[in-house]
Order: sequence, then structure tokens, then C-alpha cells
Amino acid sequence: MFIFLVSTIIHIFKPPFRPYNLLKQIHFIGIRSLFVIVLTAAFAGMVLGLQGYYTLSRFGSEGLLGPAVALSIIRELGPVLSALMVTGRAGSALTAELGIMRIREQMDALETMGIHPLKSLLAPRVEAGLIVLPLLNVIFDVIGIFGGYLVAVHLLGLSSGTYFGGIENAVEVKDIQVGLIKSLCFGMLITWVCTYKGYFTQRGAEGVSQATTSAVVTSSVLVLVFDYFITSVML
Amino acid sequence: MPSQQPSATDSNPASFPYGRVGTLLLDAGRVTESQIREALGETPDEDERSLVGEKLVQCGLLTQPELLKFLFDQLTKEREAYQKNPISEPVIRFRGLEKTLDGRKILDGVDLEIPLGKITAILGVSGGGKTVTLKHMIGLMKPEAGEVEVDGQVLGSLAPKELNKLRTRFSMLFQGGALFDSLNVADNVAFPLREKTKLKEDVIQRRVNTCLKQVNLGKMGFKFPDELSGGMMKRAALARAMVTNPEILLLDEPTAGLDPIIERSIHHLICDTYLRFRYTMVLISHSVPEIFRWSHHVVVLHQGKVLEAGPSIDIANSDNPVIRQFLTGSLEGPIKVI
Repeated sequence: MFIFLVSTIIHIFKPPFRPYNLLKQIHFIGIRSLFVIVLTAAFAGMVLGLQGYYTLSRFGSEGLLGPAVALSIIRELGPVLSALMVTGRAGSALTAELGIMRIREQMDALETMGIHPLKSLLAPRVEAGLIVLPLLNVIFDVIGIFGGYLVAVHLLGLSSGTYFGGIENAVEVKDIQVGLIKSLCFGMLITWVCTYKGYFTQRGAEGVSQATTSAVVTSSVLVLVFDYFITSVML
Repeated sequence: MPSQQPSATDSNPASFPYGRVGTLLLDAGRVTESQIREALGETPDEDERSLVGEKLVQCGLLTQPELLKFLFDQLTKEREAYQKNPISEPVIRFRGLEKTLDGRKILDGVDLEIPLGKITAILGVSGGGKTVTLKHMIGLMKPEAGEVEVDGQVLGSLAPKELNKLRTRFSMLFQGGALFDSLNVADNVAFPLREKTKLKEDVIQRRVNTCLKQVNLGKMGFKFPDELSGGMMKRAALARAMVTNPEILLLDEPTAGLDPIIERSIHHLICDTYLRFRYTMVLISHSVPEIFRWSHHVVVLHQGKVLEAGPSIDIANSDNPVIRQFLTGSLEGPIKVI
């Protein structure tokens, strides 16, 4: 599996370069995941706002709600939830698409034309994952913080100055870097696992369903495991 | 003049000012030079010359059944000549090939030779290793023992780049067509040209249109694979296989799952394609005994080995009980199915 990743990465840097293929995958993995990311981010932020306010008000620290929501989203929830959403929406589709191409001999057809499937099918997907996940993460962060703002300011009566002022003071560049590094790692992880499972699909329709399930479960678990290790290293 | 025409097997298409089929028709006295000129126009390019038969039909100088019968008769003559003198340089050679899949020995020391510039049919029971044999020819599978030689080059010893270069001499039609679902028929056919050549888009479009016309899908380029019937799918896949002008065309069950009329039309198309371009063709088929009428050379695979190989007419008359059973489709015999 590691050799597969290395080979795919090597193929990213090998000519010929087909920007159209890359843009197509960015559209599929990124743009088409936007709605689910926005929705998840908004509600995640709103829940954090509610829960945070409830907890902090016990200690008379409602003023820290902004930083609490922002740091939770920027450092943890943004990268993790956007990765999980992309796994569910785009990762499963990647595996199924590649799996069907494998069992319908479309990958063999590519090879007979002298075109390596790693170059034409897998490299653009992994590359798109690396580009798209950090961008989706940023969008998640912004929407999530605004979700918290809606609840904190318009529902619970906190002043917007307190909410955003706290964020400005508490959030450092390093926090944003941690979130971006995580999402970059998750982008590679998801596309790596999902393309690997699709590429090595066997045994017809049942094989495709097994590969898809396995890809989603493995990616999701690995996202959480890697999240722990990256956090512990970067704290 | 007909006598001055080059041999039909001449590899250079430029040697045929009226296309290979036009030359055959001219030699047989079916049409005159002026009729061909009338059908082709003043300065036909190579693509137009390859469509000479269709153009003669369009001009009303031949009917479609007359053309098909003429081409079939030409192939029959060639098959008979090949039976009398079955000497042809082998382009692909297997030596002691062995392959095991899922613990089952599929190929058990296969030795075979594919003659250059002929149509070779590989026959055998289902699951007998025919597709595996075909995939070894193009390096999609690697043998556990033995070697595959293409024009003297051992596939196993080639670097990936060299193997890719060698593959450009091949094209393959897969059992299910293997068309890309996300591309329409025209883009599917154009795909190998866009990926592997630096041809301009207008040249690619012209070539794609010609290939689609050759397989009678001239107006179907905009359709997607899931909108095509089984026969159309095979024809589109054949167009994609032909578009790169390969030297060797591998056809994996081109008529599987088709009704007898479409099956016959695909066989005519294969015959037509062969006479137009003189590719070395290797095809797998279960259309017995039909396939004996459409191929020069037949290889029969049984229990992982080559049971018999030779001119199709000889194999059709073989006394081997396995081949007899295969030809008659009898349930009684050495092949146990139930």
C-alpha cells in the first residue's frame, strides 16, 4: 500500500500533465462537497456555541465562548469533520468509480493503450485531494465560527465584540497551521486509501461494494488515528 | 492496371491508391478504375481510401450484400491458399507458458505461434484460459513460467517504457467493450489519439469520424456507452481499437451475447477490417463452427495446453474427439460439463 502511494506521487510529477483531469477532480472532490461542508460546519459551530455557552456560563466565563468555538473548530473539528464528510461523499464515489473501471476492464484498456492508470486516473485524484482538503477546511472554519456567532450573539445575547474580540486575541497563526497541516495529511490519506481500494477491486459488483465499505471505514478510522498523532506531535 | 497493383498484403497503405479493398475489387473486375475514381473523388486521402467499399455502395455502383459477399469470398480464397501453404512468420510466440489463478492452473505449458498478417482464432471451453492467453500477449498478465515473445522481444525482459512502446503496436477489443462510461462514443474513440499522439484536434476528429463510419456508427458519436446496444458497443470498441492503426488487433469474444444477425455483421466487419488494413488479428470466439469460416489459423486450448493448432480448414476436419465434441456441441465426449 505504501509502494502504491509512492508510485502515485511519482506519477504526479511525471509528464504529460493534464490540467483538465486535475480540474475535473477538484470539481468532483471539492466543489461538489461544498454544500455538505457548509451545512456540517454551520451546525457544528452552532452546537459548539450552545454547548460552550452552557458550560462556560457555569463558571461565569461566557466571554471565552468565541475563542472556545474558534479554537475547537480551527484545530480539531474543521480538519476532522471536513475529512470525514469528504470521505463519505467523494471518497466512496472514488472507490466505486475506480472499482467499476477495474472490473469492467477499463483499466486494462488504458494499459493496452500504453497509458498507466496510476498516471491518468489515480495521480489527479490524489493531487486534487491535497489541494482541496485544506481549502474545504478553511471554508469549514469560517462557516463554523459564524455558526457559533449566530447562536452566541443572536440567540444567547452575547455581544459580537466579545465573541470576535476573544477570537482575535486567542487564535494564533500556529493554530491555523496545525489545522491546515492536518487537512493536508487527511487529503492525502483519504485519496490514498480510496484509490487503493478501488484500484485493487476484485470479483464483480460484490467486490465493488466491499471495496467501497472498506475504503470509507478505513479512511474514517485512519483520519481519527492520525488526528491524535498529529495533535500530540504539534501541541 | 490490375496487374501492376502491389500485393494485397503490402504493409504500406500508400501503395494502394484506391485502398486495399478498391484494389481487390479492381483486380476481380468488379468495378473499373473510373468508377472508383468517381466514388472516391479526385484526391482521396488515406482515410477516404479505406472507405472505398462504402463509397461505391453510396454511389450505387455496388450493393451492400454484393460488397460483403465479395469480401467474404476474398477471405475464403485466402484461407484456402493458407491451408495449402501454411507458412507465415510468427509474430507472437509462447514458450512453455504457465499461469495459475485462484489455485487453478489455467495455462500449463502453452506453446503457440500467431502467424503474421493472418486472422487467428483461439477456441476452447469457457474458463479454459483463452482470455488469459490474450492478456499475456499484450503483457497485461505475467506468466509464472515460460515466456512470451513479440517480434523476437521477450515481454518479461522489457522495461516498462519499452513495454509501453511495444503496446502501441497492439490494440485490444475487450469482452465487454471496456468503453469509458464518462465519455461519449466519439471521445472514447478519440481517447488513445488524444493521450498518446500530438495530432491536431481537427485531424483527430476526421480520423474518429472515419473509424466510426467504418463500423457503421457514423451518426452515433454523441451517444454514451450506456445508450448503446451490445452490438453497437462492440462496434464502438472496435473503432477505438482501430483508430491507432495497430499492427496486431486482439479481439476478446467480439460476438459474445449477440443475436445471430448482429454476430454475422460483426464477423463481416472483422473480415472487412482485415482486408482493409491487413492487421494480424487474434480473436477468441465461441461461435463454432462459424468462426472456422472467418479465420485462417485456429488454436484449440484444452486443459491448459494447446490441443491442436493449424489452418482453420484442417482443424475443422480434425479427428480429435475433443475438437469433434466442441464442433458438434455434443454433451457426450471427453469434455465433461455436468
